[in-house]
Amino acid sequence: MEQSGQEVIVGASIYSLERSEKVSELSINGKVTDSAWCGGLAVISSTSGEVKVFNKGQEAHSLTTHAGEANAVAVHPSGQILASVGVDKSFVFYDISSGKTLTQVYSDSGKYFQRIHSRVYH
Amino acid sequence: MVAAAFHPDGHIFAAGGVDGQIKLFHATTGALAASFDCGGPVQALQFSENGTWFAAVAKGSSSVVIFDLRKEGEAARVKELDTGRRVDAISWDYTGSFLATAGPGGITVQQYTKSSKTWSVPFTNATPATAVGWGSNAHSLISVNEVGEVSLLSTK
Repeated sequence: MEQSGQEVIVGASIYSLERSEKVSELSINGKVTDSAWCGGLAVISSTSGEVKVFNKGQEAHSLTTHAGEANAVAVHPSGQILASVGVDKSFVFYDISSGKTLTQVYSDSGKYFQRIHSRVYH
Repeated sequence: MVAAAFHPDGHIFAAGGVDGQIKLFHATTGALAASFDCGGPVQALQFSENGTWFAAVAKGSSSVVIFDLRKEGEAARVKELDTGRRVDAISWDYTGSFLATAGPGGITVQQYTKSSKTWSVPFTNATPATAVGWGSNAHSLISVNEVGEVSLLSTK
């Protein structure tokens, strides 16, 4: 569950707290494992490995970088980057506005990547 | 890996695994910065807005462990909050003073008072919840149960 202002994401549904009713059903394959808000965009991850971004209930991006289940998502405080972790032991960073995958790091590998999108952090 | 969180300053990304490890990575390079042991598969993980703590829960546990980022090993576990009921989800409020916990046995609110460096429990209930979150002004608590029923609790 995540809430933003007056809306809450529960599973694959968005509820309006003000109106006490469901306002959107988000289309995704598999079972929802986690959710997050990025401004007005709703993000959900699922057992199918998909991470999807929705704008007012409409799919904006479908990100399938993980092999196997995508278990959790987190939004960078800048609001520009989305992260997901999966059963494949990797974490993936995506640019939220373009939907582009920025990098994927396998946590057991000990490898790391060159500085990415450095302008985002300023 | 089953849990993910960004540090409020954006420079650290944390990922929790089924092996109980919480790994902190530098967000700009993906290099491992630190590792902590949660004691069991990571069920929940969230940084406090205070910038130095994060809270973590092991699957099936009734305790929330508060970790201090600046410390290592056992010393990093600065507090263990025994809520008395299984915790499946947590949520810090934006001040970092209140931590809500949710599970099948109900909700608790754990409060940290900086001046006395003490923890207290100003609120509990027995209503099963799968998730909990603070309203934007931290004056309300929202809980959700298994069948998607959303409850709004006013706290002040």
